[in-house]
Amino acid sequence: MGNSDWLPFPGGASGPARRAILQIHPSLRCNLSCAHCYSSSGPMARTELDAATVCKVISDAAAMGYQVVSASGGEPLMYGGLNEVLAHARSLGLRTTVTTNGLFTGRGRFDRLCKLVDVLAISFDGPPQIHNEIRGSAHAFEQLEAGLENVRKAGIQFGFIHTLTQGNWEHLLWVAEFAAKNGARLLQIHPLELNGRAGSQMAGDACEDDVLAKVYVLAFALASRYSDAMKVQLDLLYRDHLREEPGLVYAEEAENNQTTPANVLGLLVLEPDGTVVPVSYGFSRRYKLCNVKEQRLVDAWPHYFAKGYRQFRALCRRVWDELCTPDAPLLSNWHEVIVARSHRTAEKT
Amino acid sequence: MSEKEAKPQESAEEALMKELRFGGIDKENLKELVRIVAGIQKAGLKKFKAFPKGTPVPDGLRVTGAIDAGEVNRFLSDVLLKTPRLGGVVVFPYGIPWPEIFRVNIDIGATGETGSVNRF
Repeated sequence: MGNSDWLPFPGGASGPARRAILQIHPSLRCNLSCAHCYSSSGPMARTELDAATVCKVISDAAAMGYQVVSASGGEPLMYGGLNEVLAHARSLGLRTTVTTNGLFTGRGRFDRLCKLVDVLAISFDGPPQIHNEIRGSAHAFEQLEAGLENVRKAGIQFGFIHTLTQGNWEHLLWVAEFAAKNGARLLQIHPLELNGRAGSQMAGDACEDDVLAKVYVLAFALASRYSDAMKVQLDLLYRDHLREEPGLVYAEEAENNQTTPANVLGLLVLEPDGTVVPVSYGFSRRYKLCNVKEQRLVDAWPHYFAKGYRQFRALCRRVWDELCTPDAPLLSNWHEVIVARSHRTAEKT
Repeated sequence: MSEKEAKPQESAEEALMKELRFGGIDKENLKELVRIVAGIQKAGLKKFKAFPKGTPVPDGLRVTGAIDAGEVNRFLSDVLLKTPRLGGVVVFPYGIPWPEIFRVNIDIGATGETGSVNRF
């Protein structure tokens, strides 16, 4: 597969995605309690959707034009219905990705998974000490390295998702070298978002503007250096690009004449309580499409498109205006900003 | 042969990281650098590298890259003319066998070959 064919992971997808994505979070159960977790997943979490419900959502999404199912969590490899869900997505002709924390089980699991998943995304936070500290596990890095061997043997294409913090950005060269050396096809650098557990445990670790600027330069240099081996993607938008291309973030003025749901909303997110929201986990329920425990996604769409979607677009326009003002930061993580603004009471719909 | 082992040469990325961590690039120069990177990214500049520049203390950068001939004009007008703290720009063709590719060198902060600093 050429680099241009590489499927970007959700989180980097802004605006109408090249391939429309249904991101599913079927469970909050996880074998770790990472400090930077935006969904507060952990071993004690019990919120979970059954596989039959998730499969119905996938069927609806496929009928609405979505082309990719991206499983996250919680730890999706702990979700009992994962194989059933992925097999269902595959049977409908959809591409599949799974985002895991890297605490893999044995090789047998990957031998089965390789028939069901197109891309494995592995979260990874830096050199061993930093990785283990953020994961709250003394052996997390060791297990990650051991598991990578199994992933390679199973022939699954994989990439790394690296959460960028004020404390780990200086290790970015090491991170890129580690990713390339281990055969990753993508290094996605995602600035820490202060949502979920991260809001309470990593409040002082979000990158300051000058660090984001330095990382922007470094990421471009790394993308060039590793262009033959892997794609390097940084989830930040440059202010002038945003101003010139409001369509990147659903903020263009022109009425969108596209009729397929996937054409007008490139990323849907199914949360563990059954709520479907646009573009990002944690979006305010005011902008939800439906709760699939109460209503089928495909049935909810017409009403949503007539009303809720317009409100979503108005919110996107306000956020775009805010991010394009001359005193706005030069670089921004649109997903973090739009989720935060969706919760503002001043923006009641 | 010397008994001392030769030190491995520092890569451009390592030098850039060192400069960004410990160097004297001020916030305004950093903004200029981001602006240039964003511009060259959009223009499709390839083989991007950035090297620290300025003596005795590096406080600028030289950015180099390759660009298609068709993009040179837009690149110059869109990016470089909007970048007030430029120390210097050089654009030259690679020549045969790649006549359609141009090399671009851009200096930010520190000036040209002398390493003296621009104080605009």
